[in-house]
Amino acid sequence: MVGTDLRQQLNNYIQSMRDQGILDSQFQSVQALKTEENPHFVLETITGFCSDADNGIAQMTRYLEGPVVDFTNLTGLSHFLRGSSSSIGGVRMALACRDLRRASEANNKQGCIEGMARLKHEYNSLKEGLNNISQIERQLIGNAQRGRQ
Amino acid sequence: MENGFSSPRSESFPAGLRVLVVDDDPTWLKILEKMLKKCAYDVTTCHLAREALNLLRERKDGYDIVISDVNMPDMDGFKLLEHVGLEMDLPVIMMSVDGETSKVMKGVQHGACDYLLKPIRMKELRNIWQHVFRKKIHEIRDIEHENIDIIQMSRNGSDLSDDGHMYCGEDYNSKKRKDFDKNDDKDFGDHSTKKHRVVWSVDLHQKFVKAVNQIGFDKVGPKKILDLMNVPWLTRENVASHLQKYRLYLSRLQKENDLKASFGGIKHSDFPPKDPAASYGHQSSISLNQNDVANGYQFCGSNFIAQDADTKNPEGDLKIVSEMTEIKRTLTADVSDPQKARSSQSFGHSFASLETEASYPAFDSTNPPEFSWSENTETQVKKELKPHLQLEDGYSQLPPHGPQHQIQMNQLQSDPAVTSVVSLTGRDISGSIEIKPLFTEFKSKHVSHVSPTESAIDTFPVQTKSQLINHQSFEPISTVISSTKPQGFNLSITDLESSQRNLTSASDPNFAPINEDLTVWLQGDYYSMNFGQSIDYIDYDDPGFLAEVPFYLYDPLTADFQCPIDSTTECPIVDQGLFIA
Repeated sequence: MVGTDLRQQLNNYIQSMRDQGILDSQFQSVQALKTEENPHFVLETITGFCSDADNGIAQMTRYLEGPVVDFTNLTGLSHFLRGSSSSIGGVRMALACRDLRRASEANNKQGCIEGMARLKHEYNSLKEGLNNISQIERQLIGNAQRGRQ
Repeated sequence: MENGFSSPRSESFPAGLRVLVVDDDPTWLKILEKMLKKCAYDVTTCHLAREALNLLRERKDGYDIVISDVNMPDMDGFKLLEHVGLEMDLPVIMMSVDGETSKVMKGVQHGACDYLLKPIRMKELRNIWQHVFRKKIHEIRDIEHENIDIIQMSRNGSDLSDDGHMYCGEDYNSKKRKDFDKNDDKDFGDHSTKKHRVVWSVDLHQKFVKAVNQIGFDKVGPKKILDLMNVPWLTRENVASHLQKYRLYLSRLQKENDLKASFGGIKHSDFPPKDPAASYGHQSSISLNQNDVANGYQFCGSNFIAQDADTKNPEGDLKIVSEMTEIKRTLTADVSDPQKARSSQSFGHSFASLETEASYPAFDSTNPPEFSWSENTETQVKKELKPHLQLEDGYSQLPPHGPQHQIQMNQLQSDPAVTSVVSLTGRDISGSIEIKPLFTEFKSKHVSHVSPTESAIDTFPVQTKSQLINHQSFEPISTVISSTKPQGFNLSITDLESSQRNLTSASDPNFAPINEDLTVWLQGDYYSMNFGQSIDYIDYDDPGFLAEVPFYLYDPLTADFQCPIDSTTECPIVDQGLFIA
């Protein structure tokens, strides 16, 4: 059945992301919070996270690329994103944030540049995976709704 | 999502636990909200610390627990933690993605009851109710242990240690014992020894209270208090934690007040009364043994003869000191009048006036009108103290134990007989016997009372020795207080009760054994004293009685907390003879 296949597909996909270390068990914890009253919970969470992350990374890039590196804000924002990414299970991204923060706390510009690059890379992997998950999610929700109708 | 119910939970605790979550990360806020709801908790979220504080202030009893992130843009999470602890005294859980030991330690230092690492799992959130529960248990335990604390405190003299009580789990009594032991040889001065922990001596506390009152109880903040206190070695954190306890104390006081245990009730079962006989060598008429109170007040080694008017030789001999102590105790005992006058204020004042304030006005029941509560207590205390005051003679020599020995006679009933006895006049008693104004009153009025207290102390009917001489009447003050038929005092329990009533009426019906409160409070553990119980001093052996006695009344020298009169039991004053506290 489509529903079952889809669900299985989703689970497989998530598992593969976990295998790669992009996601950890937190993601499934978030999934478990989905309720019938709020079937879009996971989708909303992903959307919110990605929005924050997009903005955050853009902002951090500005901090880093300015005439004078704004390490203070860079530190704060990298910490914030570390927390955010950990909320949906983006463990590799979280680690990248942690390392970037350390470099920033040490006022290490080069370290920050490298850290930033890595962060972006990790975020892109995560984002892609989350988008794929979202797609399947939407289908599942759609099917479920149609099934109820 | 605050529901309007004030009661945190329904029958199915912990369901309905009212949680306030503070986190600047919207994703986490969303997730945490869901998770907590899944635990059947009642969740409120906010993005900013300021917002959280506003919410908490608006609804003082609207939440059971706060969960907050460490890093927030508008305010440091630790700062918020501190605020919540001081103002609302709610358990706070910190959380962060950063689990560095130093951070965690900082959280604990600031009073967090837990520190969770993100990502937070469901099971961790399911268990947060234990922090709420634990706090409640501790509060109850505190109240129950008040007396014990008081006893301990009295033993310890005026030295109070500020022992981070806020970190629950610690056994107050054992802590106090430790402190007492340490303080045995201490010089009881104002913060004489800057120990590892701040010792909130009577004097220091008095300063604190003064500052608080000056600022205005509702507007206090650790910084303001610190500035006003002008104690160089004191840190803002010391003040902050002390303030927290103070608040706790006051709220407990209020509770106690409401309970208004009638006479006695203070059971200091923990304190094995020292054999009074031993200590009261001089008491001629005092058969200390009789009075449990005496036991309670045993000033270790002190010959609390106080009762023995004749023996009062104010020449600073040890006896005197002990007498003083005893007197104090007795007074305390008396004070343990059911009035729970825990006026911390008076407490502070008492301490100050400990220094032989000759200001102890005679014990007559004249309550200086100025104190609202303190006075009342004083008057009453005086009355009761009378017998104790006799110690005065002895006391005169008492080395100024500093404020510690202030015997707060909050509750002295205005038993005329007693009054006469209690000539605590500070005249010689360095440790003036302070009548602790009832805390309850204190709470409400303490600001104003603060000053009165001082005067109150002066008015403390420090009866001249002659009065004290009246051992019989002196009967361990506790006994008197306990209203057991004091031999001289006729302070039978009923008397005591009536005295108390008098007192109460005089001062404030809410008189709670101030002493207790103060003592306890000073201990850094603001357990509401069982003032009401003090009335039962009857059983002096029962340490509970002592609880009523402000610890500072106890001669630090003795540092030997005798088992106070068991307030609950009939005060065998009669039996005990003069109980020399």
